[in-house]
Amino acid sequence: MITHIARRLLLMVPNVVLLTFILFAAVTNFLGSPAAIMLGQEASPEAIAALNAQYGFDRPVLVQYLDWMGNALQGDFGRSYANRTSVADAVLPAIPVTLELAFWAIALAVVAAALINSIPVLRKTIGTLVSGLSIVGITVPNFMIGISLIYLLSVQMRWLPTTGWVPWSQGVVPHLTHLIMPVLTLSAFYFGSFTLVYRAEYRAVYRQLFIKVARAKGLSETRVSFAHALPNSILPVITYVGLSLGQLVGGAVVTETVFSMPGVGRLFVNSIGTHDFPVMLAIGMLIIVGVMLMNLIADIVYTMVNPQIRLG
Amino acid sequence: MLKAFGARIAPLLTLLLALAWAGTSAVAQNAETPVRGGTLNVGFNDDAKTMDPIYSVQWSERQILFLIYNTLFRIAPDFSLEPELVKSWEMENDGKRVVLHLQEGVKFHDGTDFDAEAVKWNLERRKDEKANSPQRNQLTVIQTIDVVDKNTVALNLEKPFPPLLSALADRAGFMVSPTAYEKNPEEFGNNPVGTGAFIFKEWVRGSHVKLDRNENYWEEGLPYLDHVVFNDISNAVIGIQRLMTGEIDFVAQLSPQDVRLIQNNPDIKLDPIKVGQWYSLQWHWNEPPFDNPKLRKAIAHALDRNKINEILWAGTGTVSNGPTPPGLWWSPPATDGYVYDVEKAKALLAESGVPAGTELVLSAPTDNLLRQLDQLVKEQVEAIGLKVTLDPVAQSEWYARVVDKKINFTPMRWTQRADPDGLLYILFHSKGYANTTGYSNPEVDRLLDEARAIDDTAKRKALYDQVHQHLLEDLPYVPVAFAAEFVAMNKDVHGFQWIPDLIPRFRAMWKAE
Repeated sequence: MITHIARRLLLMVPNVVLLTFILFAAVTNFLGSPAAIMLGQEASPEAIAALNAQYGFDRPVLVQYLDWMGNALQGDFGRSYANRTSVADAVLPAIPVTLELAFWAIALAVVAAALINSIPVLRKTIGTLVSGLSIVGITVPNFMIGISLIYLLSVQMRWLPTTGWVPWSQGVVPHLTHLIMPVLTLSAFYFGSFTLVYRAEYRAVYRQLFIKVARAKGLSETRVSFAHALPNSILPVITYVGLSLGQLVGGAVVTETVFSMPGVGRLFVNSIGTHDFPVMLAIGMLIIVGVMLMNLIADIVYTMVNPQIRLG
Repeated sequence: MLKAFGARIAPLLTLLLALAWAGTSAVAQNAETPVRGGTLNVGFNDDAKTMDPIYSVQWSERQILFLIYNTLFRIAPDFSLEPELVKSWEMENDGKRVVLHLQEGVKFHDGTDFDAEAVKWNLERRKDEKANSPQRNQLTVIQTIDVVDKNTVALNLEKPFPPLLSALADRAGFMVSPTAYEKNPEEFGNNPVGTGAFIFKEWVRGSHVKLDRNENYWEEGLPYLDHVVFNDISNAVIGIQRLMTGEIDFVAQLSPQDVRLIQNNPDIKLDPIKVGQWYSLQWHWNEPPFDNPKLRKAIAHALDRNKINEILWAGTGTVSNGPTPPGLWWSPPATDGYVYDVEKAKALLAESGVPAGTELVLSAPTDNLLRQLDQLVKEQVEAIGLKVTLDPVAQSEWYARVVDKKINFTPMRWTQRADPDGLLYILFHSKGYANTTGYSNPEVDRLLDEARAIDDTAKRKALYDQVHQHLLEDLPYVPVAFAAEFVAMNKDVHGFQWIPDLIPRFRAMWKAE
């Protein structure tokens, strides 16, 4: 197990180098030099050229990349072009916001999908409704769900604040009330897809012999469902969580933008707008490493839930 | 019987009406009297980048900067120039030396004095090549700065340059505390210190910027509000919804489409400005196919500006014949301009020698309004026999590509400046730094050079009238319209005044029921 983890971690290095280089080449190529953006709509071509030279934007991409990577490996991600402060100052405060949003969204989706689809009564009564909701969650774009929730729960009902972010330090209740709609928005897609994955597995498990044996022993339907069917059906969902982390990043970007949350996704969008390469690259690297690590964790959890699977 | 009843009830009704009227007028009077206290929550639809004014390029940032800092001069609602941190000023040496007498007793938020040394330090910092300030261009005319005494500073210019003062009423004129800056230069953009009516308190990126009232503010009685909070909203739709729930009090930069939802809402006030940003189309004036004057005119006649105004701005914009809207001191006399005339456009196209079906590539930035404008232009220009292909470009790289001359034909928008030189010179002088069309007319260059060096307004206007005539004839840009723009606010918010640069100022606003 430990050798496996070590090997996976080592393998991440070339992957990170390759992916960050692709990102670097893509942003510098497609977006062009940030000098014109930094100097604004009234910049003279001479001033832009001078700034390009000063920041080294006129050097070959590979040289710029190696320079950046060299500093990044020493923990120096440079200074933001847009506000001229250190990248760490911009990115670090945003990480907990995104992690919290992602954690609640995934947790809610997994728990809700597993529970709703395992409780026999619910399965019988609202099964069709849940199927419908799953399709809605998967097909309707994130921002539509977000804006509809704002309209319904904030503008019409006045139950929740529309957008914004309140840290824990300013009160648990305001923190949570600001979090509800973003979490619902982001978890909608996952609830939908987890439900479909879980249901298919659950049905297959239910036809197996050990379920019949459990019933024959006289166990209640609820007991059969929770003690026997659920643990055996949840595995594909865990794999799916690991696989869909990339999508989670995309979802977080949209959700944070709609709800004005100071998270990594929104910071990323803003840094694209200003061609703020140091911030974009730092976030890109964070996402790449983060997704890889989370996949590894998903694998480990998977083996813990089902020891029959061996890491090789 | 009924008559008698009427006679008895009439005085009572009159009394009630009088009381009601007195009541409303009392309310109206209250709204006119500023009230101390409260928090103004502003919807802020663009993330701020820096609070260090010498690096500011975002439009939205200036809403905050105008509260934390003062400028040397200020722009009045009629676009005239007034002194702010400067108490009075005079020109010496035929306009080549500007002497500024400063307000006395003004202090920065860190307790240090605002004085002549601070002005010199601020202007020199912007002029410093190493600082790479986007505002350096506006100040290159200043050769040296003399500190005459504690409250007097003199700017020695290369040549007389009246537009300098209006630059000092905007970004180039914000005064930061030299002491605070030197204490921590790297972080100054996150910890701004000025002389303004509000003191910087907190900035959570992507969320909000909070400012507190400056108890020792130097302008008598101001400000009225205790706090101003700029709340990030990702777009106008969210801004309007937050306004409807009362979470925010004020949103700017709304289009006629944006405000439909709140037009009849009794809790929300709408304040429109008729003459907003100038929308136009630009091209490479000196390169084929647009170096052909007849083709330019054919396209100008092919555009139905009234229809565009109707569709994009619900008819609330003003059709434009040039870069300057009516109502400013340098506005040109009214003209018919290029009226919509398809037959004439077709005839001009035939005369131009440009074959029918020639393809023009029109850039389409990812901005809803500009994209809609492009669609309409495509439809109307194709009606005279040309082919228009829309080329999608990401908003963030669009302007950079225009500057690099990689985009030939594109929609454009500009905001008015307090001095005609501000916009006309940079766009239309062959050496103008925002001249991205390649426009070059020696006569226009001469007129613009002459106009920026004299102080007499009437004489300057005569020169600018001629510039406008040339622009109409030469068509470096096809003028489209001045867009209508709105601010929307909670009915309890008072004291808002439009400044033609379209940036809301909150210094003198208050909240009262």
